[in-house]
Amino acid sequence: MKILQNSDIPIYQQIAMQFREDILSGRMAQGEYLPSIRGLAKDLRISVITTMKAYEELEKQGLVTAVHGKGYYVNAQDSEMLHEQHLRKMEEHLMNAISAARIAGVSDTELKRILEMLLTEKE
Amino acid sequence: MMEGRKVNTDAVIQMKDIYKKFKGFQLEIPLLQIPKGFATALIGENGAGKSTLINILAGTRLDYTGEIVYFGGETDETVIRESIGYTSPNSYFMPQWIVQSIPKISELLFDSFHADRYEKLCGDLGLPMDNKKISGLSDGMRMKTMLATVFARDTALLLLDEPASPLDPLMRDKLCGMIREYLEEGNGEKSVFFSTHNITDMENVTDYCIIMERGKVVEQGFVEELKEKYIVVKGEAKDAEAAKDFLLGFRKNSYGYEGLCLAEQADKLAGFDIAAETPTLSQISIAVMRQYSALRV
Repeated sequence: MKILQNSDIPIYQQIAMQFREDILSGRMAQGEYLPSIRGLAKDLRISVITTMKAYEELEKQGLVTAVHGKGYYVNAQDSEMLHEQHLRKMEEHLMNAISAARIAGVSDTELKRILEMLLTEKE
Repeated sequence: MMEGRKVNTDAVIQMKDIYKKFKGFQLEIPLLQIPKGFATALIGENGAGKSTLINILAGTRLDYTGEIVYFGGETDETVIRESIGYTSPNSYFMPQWIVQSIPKISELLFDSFHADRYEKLCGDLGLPMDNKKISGLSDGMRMKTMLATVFARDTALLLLDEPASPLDPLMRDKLCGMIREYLEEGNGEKSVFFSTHNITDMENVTDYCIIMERGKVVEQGFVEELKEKYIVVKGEAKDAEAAKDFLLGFRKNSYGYEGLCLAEQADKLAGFDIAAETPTLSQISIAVMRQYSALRV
């Protein structure tokens, strides 16, 4: 796991994002436990509370479940949920494209035309 | 503003109505809890009362009033003493002691002391095991020796008064690693309470933070929660006077101003041209300290 100390993205989010990718890609299997909070803090050289916050974030996203005294395990990722996650990711990228377009002064019509052009090219 | 989920924790130490009067200064703590299973930093100016508080907790200062509950209600003083490791900013070893004799003395003082672990720590920290006198050690070496003696014991709480100050950057990093390892071993049962001026060096090991000014606790919380509670705001000089009332630790120069704003009040500054960022623990501490300080800095 790679943690950037001086990134604009808070450390807890960096951790959550990397576990999230591991879970959604299937690298971490259903039922598998995340590393212990204090163990991960030690290995990544960060504070315990930052790790806890990362795990809570994953719990909020429905990716893991906390078991009192045992830690956090990976939830079953049903296909609908996976689909939902991918949709969310796609929307995020589209939103980025829209903001970039606004900055560049590209009109909405122009933006749609570019998207359609890209879609045809892909096919 | 979204409220972060508050962490529920037990207290390793609970203080109630702690009061100690000095000439021109008094320590006054109505209620304070140090969370169990975490590393807590005590931050504040020189003379804010940090060492006084740690001395009271470590049992080296007894002339105070108030109530302290250790480990959720442990009353056996021997158990409490054996469970706590303390280092002071000065040396508590006698100057004429020789380095070699420290493990023997420590074994006499504490049942929980492991000579083999001490020896290993001395190797890790590059400490000599010879017949040099304590008085001949540098400040950094003395601190490392004290740290080795407390980490060589089976304890449940470490009270470290300014452990980082005399240490070099490499050793500060090592100290952070040792604290994390200690917390991991404890799996939620071991806690560390340390005072520090080296906030940046210790930030990545700090879970909870208590800021003291002039004998009182002026801010406290889990670092991740404090980082959501406040934002750092920077703005244009022309708005400085209007923005001032909403900012802690306000500071301005001819080009602009900056300060710490409660996140929930950020909308009050919406009309101004500002840049905002998530604060570091160091930025939070300095702004809060500046707000409550008697100094005009």
